[in-house]
Amino acid sequence: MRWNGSTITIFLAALAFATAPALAAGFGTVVPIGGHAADIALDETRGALYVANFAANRIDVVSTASNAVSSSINVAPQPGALALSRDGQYLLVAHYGNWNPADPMKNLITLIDMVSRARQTFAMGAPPLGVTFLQNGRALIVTAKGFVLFDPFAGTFQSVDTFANLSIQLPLSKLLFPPEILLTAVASSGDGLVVWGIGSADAVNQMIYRYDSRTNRVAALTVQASVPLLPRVSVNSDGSRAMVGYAIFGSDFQRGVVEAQYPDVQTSTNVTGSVFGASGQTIYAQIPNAGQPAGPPYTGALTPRLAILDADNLTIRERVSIPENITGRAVLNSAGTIMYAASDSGALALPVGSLNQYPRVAINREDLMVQAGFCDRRVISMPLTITDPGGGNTAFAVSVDRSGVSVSPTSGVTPATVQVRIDPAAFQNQTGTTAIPIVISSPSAINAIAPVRLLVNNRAAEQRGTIVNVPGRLSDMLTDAPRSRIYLLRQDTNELLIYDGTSYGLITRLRTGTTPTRMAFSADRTQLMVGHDNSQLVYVYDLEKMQRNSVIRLPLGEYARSLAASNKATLAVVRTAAAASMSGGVSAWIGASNVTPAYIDNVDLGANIATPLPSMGIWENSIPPESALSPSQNGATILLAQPDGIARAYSADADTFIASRNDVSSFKGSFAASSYETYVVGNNVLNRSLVPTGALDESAGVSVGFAFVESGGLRVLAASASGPGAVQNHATLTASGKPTAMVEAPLGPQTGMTFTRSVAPLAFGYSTIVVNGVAMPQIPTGAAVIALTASGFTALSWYFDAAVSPPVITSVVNAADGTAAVAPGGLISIYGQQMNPVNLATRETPLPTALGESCVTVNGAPIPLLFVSDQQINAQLPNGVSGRASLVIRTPGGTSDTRYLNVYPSAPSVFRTGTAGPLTGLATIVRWNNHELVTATNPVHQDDYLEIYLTGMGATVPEVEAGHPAPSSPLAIVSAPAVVSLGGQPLEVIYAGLAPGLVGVYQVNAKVSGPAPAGLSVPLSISQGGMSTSVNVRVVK
Amino acid sequence: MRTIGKSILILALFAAACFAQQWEFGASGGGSLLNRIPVTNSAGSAEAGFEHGGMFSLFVANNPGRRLGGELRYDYIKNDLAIYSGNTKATFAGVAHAVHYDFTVGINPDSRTRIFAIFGGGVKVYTGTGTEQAYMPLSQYAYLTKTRTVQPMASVGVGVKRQIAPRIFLRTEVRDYITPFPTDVITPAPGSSLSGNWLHNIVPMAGVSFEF
Repeated sequence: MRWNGSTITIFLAALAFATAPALAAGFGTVVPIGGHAADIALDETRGALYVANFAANRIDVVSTASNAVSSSINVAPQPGALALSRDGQYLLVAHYGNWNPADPMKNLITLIDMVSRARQTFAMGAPPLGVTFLQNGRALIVTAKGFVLFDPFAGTFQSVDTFANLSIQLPLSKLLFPPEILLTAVASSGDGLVVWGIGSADAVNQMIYRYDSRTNRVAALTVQASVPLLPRVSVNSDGSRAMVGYAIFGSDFQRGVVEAQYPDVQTSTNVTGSVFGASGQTIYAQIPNAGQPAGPPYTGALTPRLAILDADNLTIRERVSIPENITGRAVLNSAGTIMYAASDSGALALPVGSLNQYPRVAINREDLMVQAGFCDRRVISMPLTITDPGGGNTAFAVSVDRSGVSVSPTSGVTPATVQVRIDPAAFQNQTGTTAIPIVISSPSAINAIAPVRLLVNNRAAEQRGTIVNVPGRLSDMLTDAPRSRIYLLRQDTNELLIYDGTSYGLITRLRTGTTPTRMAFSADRTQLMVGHDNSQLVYVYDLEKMQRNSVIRLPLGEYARSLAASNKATLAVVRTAAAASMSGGVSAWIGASNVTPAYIDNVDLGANIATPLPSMGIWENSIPPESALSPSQNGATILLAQPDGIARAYSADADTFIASRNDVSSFKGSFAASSYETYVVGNNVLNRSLVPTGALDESAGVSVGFAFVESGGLRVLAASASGPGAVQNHATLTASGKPTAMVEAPLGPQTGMTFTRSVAPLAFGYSTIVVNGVAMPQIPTGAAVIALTASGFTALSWYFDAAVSPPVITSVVNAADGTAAVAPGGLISIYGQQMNPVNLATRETPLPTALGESCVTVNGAPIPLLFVSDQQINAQLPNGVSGRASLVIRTPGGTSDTRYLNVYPSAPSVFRTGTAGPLTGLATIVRWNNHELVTATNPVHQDDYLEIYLTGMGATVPEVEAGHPAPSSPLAIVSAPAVVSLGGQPLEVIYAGLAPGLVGVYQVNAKVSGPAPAGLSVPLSISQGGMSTSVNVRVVK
Repeated sequence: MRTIGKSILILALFAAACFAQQWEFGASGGGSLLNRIPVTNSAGSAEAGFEHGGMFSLFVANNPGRRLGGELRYDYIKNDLAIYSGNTKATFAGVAHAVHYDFTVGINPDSRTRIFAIFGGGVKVYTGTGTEQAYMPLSQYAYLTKTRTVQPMASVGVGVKRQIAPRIFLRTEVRDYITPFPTDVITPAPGSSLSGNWLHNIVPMAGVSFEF
């Protein structure tokens, strides 16, 4: 076609009248409709999204292929809600006609037959507010006065239930968006059998309802929320759970129990929207909080964000930027890949199933823990791996604002590894842990990138304790000596972390409710109860099975903040969302912030319910919400500590509160009850009548944790968050040892947590001696002290304040087979005494040069450590060591004598650490064909391929820095060739070098070619550089 | 399998001398039961041997005279290797192949139901076929191994043969295949000793044969 004037004119005219194309900005597409969207409905069969354009009196049809308005259906005025029948035949539109003067003829529903395009209009009388179709083909219409079932085929109505008028009159005197006018939302479950909805009469009272089509009954709650729930509803596939506004309701709906609520929600008039993912395990939602803009224009640093949440406890898995705010209903296509939502401009199309196709940035760790100190003053370099979860190449930048810390490179493209370099000299004036955020940003990534927390610990020789890094915001800790466990609550990921009390390794993570606060053992110590700040449930865990057992439903509007069990009653401090001024007849309260007063509830573990105490003995049941409970070890009493300076005591014998005093103006910090009816709150010592009888010295810091041990106890003090902290042994409450400096500060009071429980004993038993025929109780044996500290938790020896002798070295051998020959780059074992007070193994790479309270130097340079304990240290010799080398251990107790060792260029030795069934000490030789260790029952056969794991094979090409795992590409090959023989017959060596991913471990792959000499004990020898090692194996034909 | 092939060839050549006599071929199936050998060491005692199993057999026979005949037979014998101690048992899949030539002596050759005695010899190949593991129970006594061993075999037995149709016979017989204990596949652990050297494999079988 030739371009001429008329053609160009036609072309330009077409452009002028074309619908404005949809705007795509990063993740998601905005579809402006020219008006205000009141509701949406997805018609996948026709490839359309219908948008009720409230003020423009039409239904805009958005093509899901082009994400642009393709056509419009003019309808009666004020289409406020719409729904598509499940077979796609009918589109039902509700028209909001609550005008002044009243005109009932404007309250209509329009039924459009999408096949024949025929229309029928029906007058409703009362304004219709919401519509949804059920599985049986009928539609549930919510009006301002009740629920009506509509049969679109017959055109008939059936009233289900009625309620008081819920409607706002038109015309409006102020600017309101459609959802603010209708104040109603309704949605059906995936199976079409259940409908959930919300409606409001005013800003205070809201109604949440649940309709079951199988029983044709409506259950309703009147709800008051401190932050009103916006009219948004999403329902899971079977209708058992619904997200209404920012709160999750479930099976306890009729009891008014809120299972979970989004934390830190902010009041908004318009911004909220959510939809359950296809599996029901995920919720996609935008909930207004401090990190998001209230509305357009989005020109500042804040952008609207879609949160990807776990459906059970609203744990935030990821947040991605979206082009504009969600302001109404959200739906998901049947494949679960695209989320459509009503938005500021009309509609949003968000490809939630294709996140991997969009640039994102993820970091391989949350915390980077660096321990400098008295042994190693060299610059420490730690890697950070930055990737795009979708495998793409996404630009990023890394920055850190702290002298002494640098990052290289400061920018790049994923996948990449950046080195974070820390100069201990910059921290030499600080003893304790400094937390420094490493900020990662990306101009193109759609996800919110959380900063990495760099924890730099600088310790002096006298500071005690071994840090175990636990990322996140920790709110409480308990120790369980009989099971040798440590329990931690992590609030930001809603987890109960269970650690092993011997190895300090993580055993398991259990899911909690939203924002766990504190926990308590049941009276028989078989269960653990966890309270939450954003869930009206208490979770109960079986400690033997390490799984959740049951939930306790709290009374209306209550959230458990502290729990304690005695031999008689189990009590809970519950904050309440119900203000005294709120009206009665309310079935549920939702509180995003504290409303005073709080109460004490009596918890019935058997019935899984809690009820407020009518009174606390002779005193009114009314306390500040940040009060805390502490049970005595013998279950006889429970201490209630209040921040307003009131202390109360509950007696199990009397089954009531027996004492209450207010002798100080305020309490904070530590709180504990003993089995001898003495109490500690803050630094105050109280007798059995709660009379202050003394004060613990706080010259070393504020008391942030106290734990009774018999009639004495352990106390931790914090001067500042980045300071060293101190731990003190109280033999009695009037006699104490000098505070001992800790490696880092214990956690102190935080916002919302006035009282802290930052220390606990982990005693495994008690030794006794008999004096003059009388058994004298001794200090617990096999024990440790666990403190909740800045980087996670810190383990201290039970005898942390005892004078420590210098370490003694008795032997240094190679870690594989215990022989004397060692080589550079190889693993060694150091045996002796007083080398470290606790057992600790590290999983960090590169390996640290200080572990626990120990460091080891060879020829004056610190060496990487894998494991430390009182009598054994495992470490790696550096690459450049040769000939006669000197080895020294340094601990807070002093410096060991120098131990000299001969370092050979190569000293191959096969590990004897294999296990099979009850067999231990097996040589680490693996048959490739069945990946099992070579033993008498798994002998070597002809043509077998063998993988032999050793240490001490010396230098490699390329060289791998000590403490760092070996690369997989390129492989690090040994410089000196290795010769392998079986029964004197040489084997074909296929590979000899470092084992990829491991530190100091070498791997030799060899093939048994030709006939192998059979026998029960045939020597398999590995020779290298004049040194050899031999292992006897069984060989069969 | 080369050993079996050689054995078949040798015995076939020997049997070829009887060409043009009365020939018979047939197949049998039956059970396979073996004795257990005690194995002891300082840790205690156990029994080593094989689980009961089954077998299948093919044979070709030559009957030159009224009473004396000979047959060349191949047996496939399925018995898993096993060690037993108290309530504990360790097993390992196994199979055996036997090739042997046996003389048959008829006791009542003219009867419709003929009783005959069997004696002969050959080889039996024991093979462990199971999945090896680094640890197997009762390995303190013996090891069950995935390997093969060839053992000389003596064969004795008795049978009954009845004509059920022209040239068709029904045979039932019980044989004892005697071999040295296969210590390559069931290997006594160091310090363990076997109380016995001979393995008896009782094989009751029934089958059909055809004369031509």
